[in-house]
Amino acid sequence: MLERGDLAAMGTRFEIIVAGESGSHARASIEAALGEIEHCHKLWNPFSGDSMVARLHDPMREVVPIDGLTLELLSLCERLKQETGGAFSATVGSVLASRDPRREFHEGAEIPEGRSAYEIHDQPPCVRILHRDVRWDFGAIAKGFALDLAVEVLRESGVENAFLHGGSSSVTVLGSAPGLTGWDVQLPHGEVVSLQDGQSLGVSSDGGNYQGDHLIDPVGGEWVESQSMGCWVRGRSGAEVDAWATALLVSRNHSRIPMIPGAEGKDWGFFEQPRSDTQSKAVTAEVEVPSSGAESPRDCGFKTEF
Amino acid sequence: MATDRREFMIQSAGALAGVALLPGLEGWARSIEEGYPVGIIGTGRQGRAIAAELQKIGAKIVAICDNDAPRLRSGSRRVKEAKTYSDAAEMLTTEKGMEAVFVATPTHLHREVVEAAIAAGKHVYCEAPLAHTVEDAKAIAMAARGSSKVFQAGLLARSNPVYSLARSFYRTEAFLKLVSMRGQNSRKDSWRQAASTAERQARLDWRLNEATSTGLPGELGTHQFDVFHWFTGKYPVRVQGRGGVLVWQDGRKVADTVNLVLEMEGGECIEYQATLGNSYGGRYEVLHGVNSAFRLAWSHGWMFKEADAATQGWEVYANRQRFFNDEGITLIADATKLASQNKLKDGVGLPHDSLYYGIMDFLTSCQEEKFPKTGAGEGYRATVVGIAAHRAVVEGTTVEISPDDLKEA
Repeated sequence: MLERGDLAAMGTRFEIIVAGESGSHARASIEAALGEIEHCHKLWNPFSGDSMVARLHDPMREVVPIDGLTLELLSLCERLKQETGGAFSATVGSVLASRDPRREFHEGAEIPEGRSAYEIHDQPPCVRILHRDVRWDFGAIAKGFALDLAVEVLRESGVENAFLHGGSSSVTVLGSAPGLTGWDVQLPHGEVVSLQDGQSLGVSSDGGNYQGDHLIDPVGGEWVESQSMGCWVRGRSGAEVDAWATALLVSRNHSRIPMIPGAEGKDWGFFEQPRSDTQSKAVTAEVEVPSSGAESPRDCGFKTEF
Repeated sequence: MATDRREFMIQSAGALAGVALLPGLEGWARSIEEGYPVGIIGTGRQGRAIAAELQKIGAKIVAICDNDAPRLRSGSRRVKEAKTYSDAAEMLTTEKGMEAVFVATPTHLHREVVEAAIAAGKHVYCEAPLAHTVEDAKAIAMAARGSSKVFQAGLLARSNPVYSLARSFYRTEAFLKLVSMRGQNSRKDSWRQAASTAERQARLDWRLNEATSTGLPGELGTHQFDVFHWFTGKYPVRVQGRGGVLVWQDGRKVADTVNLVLEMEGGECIEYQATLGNSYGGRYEVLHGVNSAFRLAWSHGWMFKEADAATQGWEVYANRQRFFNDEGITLIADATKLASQNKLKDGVGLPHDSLYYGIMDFLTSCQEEKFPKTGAGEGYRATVVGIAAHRAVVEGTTVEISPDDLKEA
């Protein structure tokens, strides 16, 4: 039995497929896991005035109390920024804002970066804003982080085999697909990446589906020119592989990868995107659930209010 | 057993590894340090939602409690600064500085927790319905009446700015006279909880247990019935109910779809439908008047004027939305203020979840020592109506609600 549920969140579609459980147990587990993803969406939605990101950007606040998950996310972003040599940065939103006429940004303002722009505190959890133009954008990590939380909920519920993805570019699995020893994900150029229990896959491409280029290099502050390339990273944390996939792709264009201290030992690769796909899809991984016989996932059809 | 916050931080340091967090805030974060000290009992989904709103407000969550270890862990991960307890009595005894508690346990466990919290001298916010039986609801209401502290029932309409605005029109010629009422709560949700053991599964699935559940009329309807109680100042005298398990055929006996007719003392009726099988339309209430109708959907509200209703002037400038053949005037709380801040373009709904406003009202009542907008009496009466409606569904009959049933004392 395959049970499936999906949710519109973070500007994309999340999907969870649970294999081998009773229908009602699988469904309840999926609902709980999607609840975690929905919570992350509400916390870090940059387009909602009620989100944590909106509060971090509120010019009237110097000290912003934050919840525990946001503290974890911000702290993880800090570490990954160090490990990637700055190729991943959650405050890339400052660069985006400085180049986007739709976003409020002070004319001629210096792009704020790092500890000179903010401080993260844990007693109590809060962020002290030191530069009013600092802007967070969790687009390169939030999906993976949400999947990590969702997987924990599934494990706690006793689910042993599941496939989760956000926009099919962030993937996390538990156990294996029916009849297989793991879960296989096919990339657009044909390569298959196998995932074992607890592994995650992050895929990033430089071909956006809106307004051409969509990646910014946080180090130089420039758009990354599309070369129809993609990068996949496999690891144990959805959040980390998400961030690393973007960081490596950004660094590739500037031949900086050998200089990234954290890249050594990572399980990753570049691929060239088929030309026909690059103009139409930002999503790079093809997610297909192996079916056993005539069985197909049963859609739970979840829908949430945003 | 309390877990030290630092110990928790060490245990859950996976995502924090390698990151040097700065030390304490010392002087400059004093406003946060001085946040109002509260606790949460019950860290399931509703308890965590309460925590999220409290964190927005800046209250200081000093302690959280749940006797279910996974839920307590999940709550603690979100509220890292809070001490954790698996026993509510121990938390209430230990946390002397905690001024108020939010009770978000399963409904059938409210009574014991609320009575203990009141006995410990805490202000109490109790989720609605107050209890799964009239007897327990009455005991809670009586305990609240005997306390000098604030007791607020978690019925959110009375704190909702959009609903307050609609109610101000309800009392004028813009609405004129009540004709009928309708409410629905449609969602696609199994209501089942997932657990790795049968024992935990049974404990978490209290809403599907006939002995502990008030069903859709109690768990969902109570909140919406109170909208009609508040607007009309009346309570139902009888309720007819029908329902069944139409969608989730997983062995449950608690209906996943219900239809109710609640008749008020003046003859006006509320038609109410709730289902777990389809989410179309979501949750809303409609009040039909001679001059207009209100559609209230918690974060949004609209007024639909009759063609022969007098023009009042202001509506010429109002924001409008089209609903098939009808055009609704958007009810925007603080519209003038928002317009002056150039924020009307941001949307026409409330900026926060309705829970935020209920919690804000509660904390204000606690600090100013004044009566809350939704006290024990309102909570009790809404609970009685919800329980009666559930009984009507279970028995498939008409259940009478006498004025005496609605008296908590």
